[in-house]
Amino acid sequence: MPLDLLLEQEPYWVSSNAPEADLVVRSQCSLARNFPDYPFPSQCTESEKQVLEDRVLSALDSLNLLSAGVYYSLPELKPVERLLLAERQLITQSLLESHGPRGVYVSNDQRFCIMVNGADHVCLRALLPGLQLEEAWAQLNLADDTLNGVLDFAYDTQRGYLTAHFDALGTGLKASALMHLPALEAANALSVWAAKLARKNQQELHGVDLHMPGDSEIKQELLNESCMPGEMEGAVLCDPAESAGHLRLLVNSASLGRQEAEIVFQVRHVAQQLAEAERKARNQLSQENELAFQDRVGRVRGMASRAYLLDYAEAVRWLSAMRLGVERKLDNSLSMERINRLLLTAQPAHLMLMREAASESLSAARATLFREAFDLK
Amino acid sequence: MFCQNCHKNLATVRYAEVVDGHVKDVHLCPGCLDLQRGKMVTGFEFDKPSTKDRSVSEREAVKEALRTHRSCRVCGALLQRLLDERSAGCAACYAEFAGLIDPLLLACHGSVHHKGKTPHVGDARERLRADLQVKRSLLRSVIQDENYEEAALLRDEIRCLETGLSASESGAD
Repeated sequence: MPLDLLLEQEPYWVSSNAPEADLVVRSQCSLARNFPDYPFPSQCTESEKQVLEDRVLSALDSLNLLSAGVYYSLPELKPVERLLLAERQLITQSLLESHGPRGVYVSNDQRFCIMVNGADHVCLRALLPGLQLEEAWAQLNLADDTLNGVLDFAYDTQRGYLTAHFDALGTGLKASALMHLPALEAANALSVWAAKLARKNQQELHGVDLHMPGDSEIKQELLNESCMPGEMEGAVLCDPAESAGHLRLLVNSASLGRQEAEIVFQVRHVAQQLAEAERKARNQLSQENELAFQDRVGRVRGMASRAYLLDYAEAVRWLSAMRLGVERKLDNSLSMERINRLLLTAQPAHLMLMREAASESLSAARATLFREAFDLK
Repeated sequence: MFCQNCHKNLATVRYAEVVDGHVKDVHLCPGCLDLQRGKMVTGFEFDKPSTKDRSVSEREAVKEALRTHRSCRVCGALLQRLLDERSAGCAACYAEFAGLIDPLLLACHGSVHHKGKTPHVGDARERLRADLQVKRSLLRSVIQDENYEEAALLRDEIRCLETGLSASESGAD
């Protein structure tokens, strides 16, 4: 099976050995690029997409990149295998849903990938654990410079890199941090933060947006059409934790009119401010009622070790409580790495491919995974 | 296609007319187009006071209709689709509809001018200068936020960049 290698190795972002890893699950930077001589993928014919895919593959080959990773041609994969790539954030929703020749190059350590014929002809992405946006950008920048040496991308001196969607025009860069913010949510402070960011936008802190719940519900609807029967309709299949489990995605909304380093700096700066506010809110909640914290973590551990049916949304909520327990040092038997691993492997395609679960018994397979991980013995 | 008025000659012109607020497209031959134009002039002259206001709104309606029915000459994507979906069909769409999509881009990004990297990666000095510019603007922003720890880090980075830039410039001289 072509995905064996990928399944065997954990994505690098699962590691907890990174700055702010207790509050930031992962940092991600994506860079959209297109060719000037063909329409964007949504307007391309299948034969045009094939030419473009061949062009990228020959560039990767000439740069000797194919020996440091694997190129997955999506039409050759089963739907569940394509879904696994999406669950690992290695392909976007639009690449998952589009048709015809398309694929993704994934580096062996899964820190870096190059998507072909998604919303844009080429999309480079770097994924790192914790808050490491500058490092992710440095990696992307280097890869972009390398590709620029062998490929001509559509560029205009006024508008910069020309992308399929207006929201990525200019630099083509989207920098994001997936953050765990339960105390700010409990204190109803997230809407205040969103408003604060909007105000900051006018004061030179442009382009940072706080994604509130709702985005993933829209994505959910899109995904339900893709292919999966039965229970999967109720599961959060992609970008799993953007709204569930007190997880939020902080991302730049503007990409034109600023330099890349500035965009990355601003997102990181706001992420650090959010992290600081979250820590203060946790300290306050803990001082007010530490027993309630311990009770929540203990109950979740108990339920996790005895559950027989578990849907993904509930699993993410439990993992959120456990993550809080690790950060507050309430449970020494747990680790962030273990929680990140479960956040990844409790997703539908992972359960189906790693545990050979049938699509109609995913809840049972997930509960088994949790029982095995948290069995008190 | 034959002229939709005389049904004899070949239609060479698409003529848009606004009737009761609705845009009506007709394909005409040059002769019928002249006839139609003649009618239009007569009509305008007949009722001067009321047509002054109406003609402005009609012209706007025709302009709007023609604007949104425009399509990219390279990929065929409709301008209306670009505006609705906030996405382009090809790289040429941006030049094709330059002025028409700028308000959207401005609302989305707060700017319509690219300041990021260029495909030409060779000029190291240009890069140093650009980095220096970014770091200086970031320094101003963090000082405004009273984040002095970050400001100290940025100040050190700016010094390094300034040293590198002056070294590369003196080397070039």
